[in-house]
Amino acid sequence: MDVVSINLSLLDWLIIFCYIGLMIGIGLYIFKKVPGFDNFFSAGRAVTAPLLVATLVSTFYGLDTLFGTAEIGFMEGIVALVAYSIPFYIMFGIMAFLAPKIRDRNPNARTMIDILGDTYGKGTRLFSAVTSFFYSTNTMEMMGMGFVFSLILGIPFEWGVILGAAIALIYTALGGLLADILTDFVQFFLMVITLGIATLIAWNSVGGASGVWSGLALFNRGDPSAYFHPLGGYLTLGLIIVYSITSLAALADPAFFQRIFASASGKEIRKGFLIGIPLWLAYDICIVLMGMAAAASVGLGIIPEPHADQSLLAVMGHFLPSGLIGLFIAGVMAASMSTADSYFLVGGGNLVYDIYRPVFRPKIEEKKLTRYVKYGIIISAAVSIGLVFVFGRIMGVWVFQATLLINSVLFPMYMALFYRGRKTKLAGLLSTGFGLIATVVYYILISTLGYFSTEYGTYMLDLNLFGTPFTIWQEYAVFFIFPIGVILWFIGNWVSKEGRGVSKERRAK
Amino acid sequence: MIGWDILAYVGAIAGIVAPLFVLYLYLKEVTKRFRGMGKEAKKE
Repeated sequence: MDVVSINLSLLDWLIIFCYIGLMIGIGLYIFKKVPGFDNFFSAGRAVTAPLLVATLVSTFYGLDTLFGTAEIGFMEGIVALVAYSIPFYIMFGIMAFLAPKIRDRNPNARTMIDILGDTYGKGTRLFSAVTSFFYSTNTMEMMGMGFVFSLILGIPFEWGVILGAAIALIYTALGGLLADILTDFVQFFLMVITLGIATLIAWNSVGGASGVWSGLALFNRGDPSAYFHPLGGYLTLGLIIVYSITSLAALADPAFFQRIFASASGKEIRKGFLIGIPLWLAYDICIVLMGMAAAASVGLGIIPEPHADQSLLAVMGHFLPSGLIGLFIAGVMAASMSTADSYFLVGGGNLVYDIYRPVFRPKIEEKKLTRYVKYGIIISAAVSIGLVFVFGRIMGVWVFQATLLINSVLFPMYMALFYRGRKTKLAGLLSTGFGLIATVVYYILISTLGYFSTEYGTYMLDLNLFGTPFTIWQEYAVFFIFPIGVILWFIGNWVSKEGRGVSKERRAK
Repeated sequence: MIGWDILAYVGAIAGIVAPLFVLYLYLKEVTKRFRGMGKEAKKE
């Protein structure tokens, strides 16, 4: 397998430098225009639908989606779209329905941790903020940026990681959420439009669907029909459920919640999600088909066989002309930075706004709070970079982060948002605390005692219970831990005497 | 095979056109805001 190489012309370099310059320029411009913490952290709660569409789409889709989905398209075909992406569209649809209610019922909230902390107290606030912080560490994006920068600049991977993070960090720390959203707006156009144009060119260059079919037959050394089968010819309903369980994290994504509370109204955020769904779909269609076109190109002898996760870059590097390849690389950087910056901000907010402020300085001045959140953003970026160096290539890091969020935060948060009955501190503490600790312990056990299955692309552990052998997957953590967290919430509510005898109307007040 | 070609073209064209629609919505909104500001300035 060959490592991809891309030759950039002067025009390509010019486009890439213009893109980086524009991002930093926006950060500097906003830096002078955002007085007060509310403007810095919640963009003045005035973000309307077009900006919301751009920031939601570009934030949730990063390099893990771009390279990861293309990788599945390269190896397995259209199943990447049907079985892996559709569960996320269902979650986005649910968010379009729930987000306006969340926004309008909590006009003063800034983060989802506010909801949990206000309902269940400081202990739950702490557990959920720690969960949100770990979810927001950008290990995958950092790795992707390191790879892209090392590819185009010829620098070591580690320097690529630091360079990419530094650019995203500069404009996020300078301008906060508004800079984040405005840069996302530019990045959204770059990443989606360039991929659309590139797909048209590359798909035609391989010879359309019939060319892809012939190429896949040669690549696969046989019948390529499994590439065009919606379930890849191997997925069962059980496997789809296991693989798609992490999509539940979209219902508790802290960057989504920050944007819900920053939206101008419930109507605007609903439009944001609804217009976003077809865009996410179009983006996925292009990536998956480009992964398949890359495999077909290898079969037809047009390109040498790349590593599967570099298939998209390999096919684009070969087919796109000068100028467009620069735009495409800028689009790849945009996909990465638009995700990294948003989660740097969420992580910084978790450290300072959600943990430091309520525990140590409840009456902190706005100016100081803004400054401290900027320090938090730098710490969040440093932790993300550090994790890359400590762990190297982490298989399944997204599955761990998503599982952590689902097990610890999802249920207590939605009970806090929509359940009108009694909600006690003990209930929140038990369910978030257990979800966080049990998930970490589960993953430590699976990754130290288990093994990585290349067949299923996940960590597994073989066990023997009363003479019956069986295998547990890392994805099963949700099936074990989430229901126990739910039960603990009810037990905590039942055991605690807090709020007993108070009428529903008074509680609602 | 034609169905896959249609899917590729629909995905790619949607990827080009849909962001332009979002840009149109944004420009419409900005224009409306500026017009509103102009009217207010005239009143004053």
